[in-house]
Amino acid sequence: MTDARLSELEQESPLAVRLAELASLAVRVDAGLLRRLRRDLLPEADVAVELELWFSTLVEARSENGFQMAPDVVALLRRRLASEPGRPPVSRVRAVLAEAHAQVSPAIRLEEKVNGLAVELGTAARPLIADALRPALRALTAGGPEAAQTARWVFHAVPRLHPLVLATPIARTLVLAASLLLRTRPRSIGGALEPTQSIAELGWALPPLDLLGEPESLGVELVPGGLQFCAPDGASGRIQLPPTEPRVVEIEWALEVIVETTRGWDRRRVLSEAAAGVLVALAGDPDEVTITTLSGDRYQLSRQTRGADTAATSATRYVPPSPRLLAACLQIEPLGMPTPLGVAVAVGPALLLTPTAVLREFPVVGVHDSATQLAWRPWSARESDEGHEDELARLVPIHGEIFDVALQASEWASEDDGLEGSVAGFVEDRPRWFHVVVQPRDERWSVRRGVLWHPPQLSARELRAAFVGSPFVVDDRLAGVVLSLTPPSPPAEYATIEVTSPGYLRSVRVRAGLSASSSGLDRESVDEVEGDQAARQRKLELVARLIALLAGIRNARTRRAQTASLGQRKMLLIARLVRVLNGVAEERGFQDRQVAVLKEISDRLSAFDGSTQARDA
Amino acid sequence: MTADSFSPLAGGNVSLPPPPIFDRLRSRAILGAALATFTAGSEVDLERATAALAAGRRLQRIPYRPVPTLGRGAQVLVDRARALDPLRLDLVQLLADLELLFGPGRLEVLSFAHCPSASDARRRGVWAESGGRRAWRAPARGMPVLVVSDFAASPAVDDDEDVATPGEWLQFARQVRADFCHPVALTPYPPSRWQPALARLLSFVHWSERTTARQVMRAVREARMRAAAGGYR
Repeated sequence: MTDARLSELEQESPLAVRLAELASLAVRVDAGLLRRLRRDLLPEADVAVELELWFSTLVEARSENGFQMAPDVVALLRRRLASEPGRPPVSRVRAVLAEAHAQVSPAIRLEEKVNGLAVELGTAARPLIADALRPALRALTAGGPEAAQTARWVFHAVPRLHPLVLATPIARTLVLAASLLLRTRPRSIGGALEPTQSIAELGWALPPLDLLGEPESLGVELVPGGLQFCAPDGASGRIQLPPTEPRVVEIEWALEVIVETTRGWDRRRVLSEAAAGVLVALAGDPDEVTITTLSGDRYQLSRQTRGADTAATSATRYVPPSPRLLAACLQIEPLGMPTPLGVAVAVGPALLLTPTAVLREFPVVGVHDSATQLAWRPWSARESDEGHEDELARLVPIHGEIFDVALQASEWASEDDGLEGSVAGFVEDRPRWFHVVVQPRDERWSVRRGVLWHPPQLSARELRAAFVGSPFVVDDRLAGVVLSLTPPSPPAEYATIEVTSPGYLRSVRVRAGLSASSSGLDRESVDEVEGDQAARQRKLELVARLIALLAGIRNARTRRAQTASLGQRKMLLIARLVRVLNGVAEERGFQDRQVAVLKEISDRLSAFDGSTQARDA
Repeated sequence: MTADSFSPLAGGNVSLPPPPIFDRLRSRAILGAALATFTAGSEVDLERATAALAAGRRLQRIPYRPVPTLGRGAQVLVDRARALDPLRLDLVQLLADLELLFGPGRLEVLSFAHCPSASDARRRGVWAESGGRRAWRAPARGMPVLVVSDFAASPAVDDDEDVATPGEWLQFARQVRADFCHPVALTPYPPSRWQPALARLLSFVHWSERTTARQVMRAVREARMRAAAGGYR
């Protein structure tokens, strides 16, 4: 691996790059250090090499007294120092550095020492690094101005620390404890907590927590697939947390493991941020967990505390939906580009839904590996979601294709609870079901967060194209649509997803004319009839009459023996009815005409029914 | 720092000072060789006297052997532009060495940025430690002028847009020569980066651990021979 800045300087002055390698262990490079490094370890270099490095592009910031090199370059230089042939032993570099910096602050010397150990000894340096960092951790725990100074030093030093140093538990404790003390997020370790960190290690590294203020309450719920933090009001469990930033707890549970034929229990532990809305996925869907706070308080939480609902949830086993329903899922892509954008789900014979974010600038999309083209039909002003931007968009086939399989929308059993179900994901162009758990509630009314267990091994882009837009299916019915996906962060075995909330899906269902109990009727055939209240009323009456007449014909056929001619006439009439209805679907915007056509059909059916009854009589 | 205590901010944030480029003994020899002028000593130059008499010429004055001296003092011009930032502490050491070498009152130390006789009025001139900027004036006739600079060999630094040009340095060197002074250039860059035209006008000394007093003496002698032969222009 190389860097353009390094290559450039290497061409102009190879010795300046060698000097930079020697200086890469230093927090800050100044004239005294450069001179010693050059004379002791690079005797072939002249004074001018010091100037060439000082004014080179490797330098990120310089003053009249010294400079700092860019962190990414420093990492490369350290690697070269440790691995390239012809370099002096790192131990000698460290010795010169220690001599030059004999009078600098302990913080700088400590940082240079641990980085030097990591470069010199690699993973073998871990115990030595831990020993070296211990006094700093003790200073942090002692409280007072030195603790604050140490915390500030740690906060700023993190980007400069060698990855091996950062990987040591004591360094992570130091970083997290410093961030908690400064009430700011940890830097450079992704801003996230290290899940394997022990809260005991972290807890003792902190000064007295009562200095931070009064503990705060937070609600906890065991939900299918994990633990949900929520507002304390109405929650089945409550914990008291010291007001650190971030709030941190350790969650511990037992995971059932079966090795060959022997069943056992494996204790699992995870360090997590605790804030309302956070859902922590727990492998094995445990019935009981122990929560430990930074102040050392321990809370037991079990499903039994949630009452009957919890018991019912825990008794549910994951069963994937019928594979037949996968036919309702289509992977869509821009026209002429075989790069899938996401998934669309058929909710009617000629109506599909997909997240608006998937379509973005594509008014027409194609179906992957198919000639089908789908047009984006925006919500009209009358259909808009009360002024909100819609999460979902409608798609209709341009060439009139009919989808044999469409998903029926359903209500959630309880909107306050979470839900376990499946989403379809496309792997190698074929959809299959994946297990998901969606959290009970969220601050955003239209969106719920959830966890997708064991996603396929795909890149972030491929994962999104495979899942975003996919239906969230519970009991073979549509319970939501996946709106976004965040790939797993190793070693986590789950991706986090956002799906539409039950309230939002209900809104879409009403606006798109989808019935929770119908077979997903294509609303387009009657959609345009809705002009004003009077037209709507007439339409409903006519449809009701049509249904009643059709039911009467069917009943007549099953009750009595029919003549062949009568059967043929009925079939012809029904065929005409279908044609006329299709014609209505094509003539959008002419509501009066549609109402008139429907009335005509109704009258003919009435006449037919009357004549049939007369003949039967 | 003991194993039991950790005071993050105790101590400073700078390294120990850099070891000097010229150690004390070599510094005296090299600077002495570079800045010495010659004057008549106390010993009669028998060779010159004999040669004159043998040629039938009358001795109008007794020739004495020339001896190097620092008695004329020196003017030192120090470049304070950012290009010499890395050698800031070395400059302090150098001035201390010169003070020790010449003794009190025989050294005129002036600062400049980029070039003392820059064409742009904003960059032109010199200043003493106490006092404002003024135009450079040559010292007494025959006095050496030591100029410590990168002589436009450094790349431009950050916002340091007004770097000196080689032409400005040539003009300054000619001016020093025209005033019958001996210009000596001390620079951290090696001979490969010296401008040839400038190197013919100035006695260049490489500010490096590898420089010896013998090299400096030879360079100064050659420069003076060129001056005597009128080979400056």
